Amino acid sequence: MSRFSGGETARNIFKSAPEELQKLVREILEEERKVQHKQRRPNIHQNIYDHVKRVIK
Amino acid sequence: MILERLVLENFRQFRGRQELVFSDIRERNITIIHAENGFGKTTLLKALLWALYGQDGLMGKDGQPEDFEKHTDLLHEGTAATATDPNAVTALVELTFKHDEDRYILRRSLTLAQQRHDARKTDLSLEQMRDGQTYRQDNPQNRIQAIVPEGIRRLLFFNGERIDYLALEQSRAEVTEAIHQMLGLRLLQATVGDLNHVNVKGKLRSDLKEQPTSDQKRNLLDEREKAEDELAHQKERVGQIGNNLIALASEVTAIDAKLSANRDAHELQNRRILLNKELEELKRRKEEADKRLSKLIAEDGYMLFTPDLVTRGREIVQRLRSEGKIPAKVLNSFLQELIDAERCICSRCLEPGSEERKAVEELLTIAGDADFNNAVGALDHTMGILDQGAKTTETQIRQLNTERLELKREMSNREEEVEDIHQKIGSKEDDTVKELEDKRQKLLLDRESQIADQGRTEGEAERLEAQVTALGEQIRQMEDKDATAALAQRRVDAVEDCVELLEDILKAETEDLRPLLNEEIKKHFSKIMDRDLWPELTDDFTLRIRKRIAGAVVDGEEQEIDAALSTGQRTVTSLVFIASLVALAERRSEIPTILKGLSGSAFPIVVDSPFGSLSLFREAVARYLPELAPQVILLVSPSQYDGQVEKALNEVGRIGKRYYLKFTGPTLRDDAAPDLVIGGETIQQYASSDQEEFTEICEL
Repeated sequence: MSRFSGGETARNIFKSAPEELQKLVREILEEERKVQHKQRRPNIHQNIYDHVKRVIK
Repeated sequence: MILERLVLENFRQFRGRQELVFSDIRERNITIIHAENGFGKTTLLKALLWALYGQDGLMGKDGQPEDFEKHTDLLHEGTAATATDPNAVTALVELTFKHDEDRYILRRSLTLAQQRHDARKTDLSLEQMRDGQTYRQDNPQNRIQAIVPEGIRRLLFFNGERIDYLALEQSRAEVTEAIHQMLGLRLLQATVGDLNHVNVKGKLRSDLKEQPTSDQKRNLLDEREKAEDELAHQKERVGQIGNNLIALASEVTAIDAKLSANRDAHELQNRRILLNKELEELKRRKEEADKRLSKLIAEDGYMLFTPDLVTRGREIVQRLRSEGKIPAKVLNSFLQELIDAERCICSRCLEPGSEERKAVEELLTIAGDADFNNAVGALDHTMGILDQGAKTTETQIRQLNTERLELKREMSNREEEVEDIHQKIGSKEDDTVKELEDKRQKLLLDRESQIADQGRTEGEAERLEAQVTALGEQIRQMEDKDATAALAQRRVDAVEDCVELLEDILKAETEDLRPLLNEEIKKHFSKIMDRDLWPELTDDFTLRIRKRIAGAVVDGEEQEIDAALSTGQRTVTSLVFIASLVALAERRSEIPTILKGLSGSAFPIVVDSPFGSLSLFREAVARYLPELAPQVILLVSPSQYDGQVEKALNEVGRIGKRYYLKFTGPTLRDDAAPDLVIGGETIQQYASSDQEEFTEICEL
């Protein structure tokens, strides 16, 4: 077990958001994670836009 | 990342192949490179940065080349001048390092032909060695960014004389950014930026505008768009003004250098440079004192208005005491118990209607109440606290005011002297000097005007920001009858809500890291400073040093205030903050976070001129340096490596490797010595030559 505490507030904030928003944030973060160390990220904005349109129907 | 070896080939003044092996032993984690100013200390730091990030690594925070004249000329001058084939001569930096169990060899090179055409286009390769196999990375720059993101480079590779900015009041954004970068929260920030991008939020808003919606809503959408455009314009303007100020400052510096080099103006100009530096420091200290005073007045100022109240309260308590009402001789609750039991303590009967009962009931009218007794006691105690608090606050305000007045006086003295120097230089016979001074004065006036403009523009941007938020709220409240318009609105709302959610998460994650950082910072700091001072990363992410006020005790607690920091103290605080971040970064995987896959990594710290701004704290910092990071590389000039520092570092016994730079060239700088004295041994570090100019790396 970690000797550090914390991390709960962020988790609670996330969990208190509507399901739909949680799903959207999860997908967008996944998208960002794939390209986070890349200097060029040509499709990131289009991909996020597509996620929003797909999740929010 | 632990650095193992640096190889330079024809890089700047390093001619031919030069090599440096860093100590990677944890118990002897310091590598020292001794070098006179001008011999190539900074070039070594820049070579590491160039290898990792190319030309971007040579730029300062302002995006301008830093500490490196002709930053695109990387090939050794002599080699470049005699080259017959520009494709055959190359400047190369090779860096070998370990990271998460694997070994990497990074090579960045630039031919003379590339340098002439576009020095930003370099050849880069990265080989990864794992389990006896070598893998060539397809996209080396991306891999490097993953290992040591560019955002953390200023925290790992820096000039020790300029790191004090982290402990400035206005650096809270840099401090927060450093935490995000070092501890992997940058992903959240980047996501917020991308969601707010014109191709995401902007596009979704355009979709909304194309839907059938009410005129009123359309008007609000137009109005917000207009306000946002204006806001973007104002923000751009703020950036432009910032750039103008940087350009003006560099023009003034250039003129100052010319005046310094002029025989007629030399002495006065050097004095002015010194005075301006002092003025800057005094101004900063006064701003800090102003802030401390505002905070004190906001938090404890009310105490100054309590003495009358305290006097009145004391009079009341005094009167009650003299009337014998407090402390009560007999409590009404006790008398009531006797009446209820119908028996006195003297065992007489207290039957209703009896004389004895009447006597006791009469006593009840003058008896005291336990709650009243306690309340008066508490009031008395509070008045004591207020009384002491008022005195302490008054003393603190007086001290701060005295400090401010003293600073103002010192500033005004220096300003007068600067004005006097301006008059004297302006009256010189030499036309060049007069011309330079006139130009300098005009630049200073331009700077004042730009600063005023900056204030106005920032104010306008704030107003527009509030307007955009208010309009956004109004738009959200308006429901759409048309289903497609309602959906478009929901998507815009979802993006805005995502941004808000991610910002809240980022804030909470950062906030959760604050106590851990404070714990680390205090631990590191106590190894350097005395125990009456302690650092604190405040709620608003400002690095401060607190101190106890001698003799000020309120309610049993010693009173404390923010200490006014010297450059040396700020440098120590900044170093300690970086060391704490590096320590937490190594244990990142153990720290709870909502983000997936954050692993811990060791990082080195490479410091150019680590002792330059430390004044009194040189020795203490020298002793502490091995604990700064798992690996520490120091680039030091002989003047900074004085007796105290040398003695302390030797006593600590953690130096693993030691090098010096030997310079061969036609002239030696006035402030440089031809020999280097280390541990009583004299080593020749300069060789005179009219034909050649180069630096060599020599192991000690």
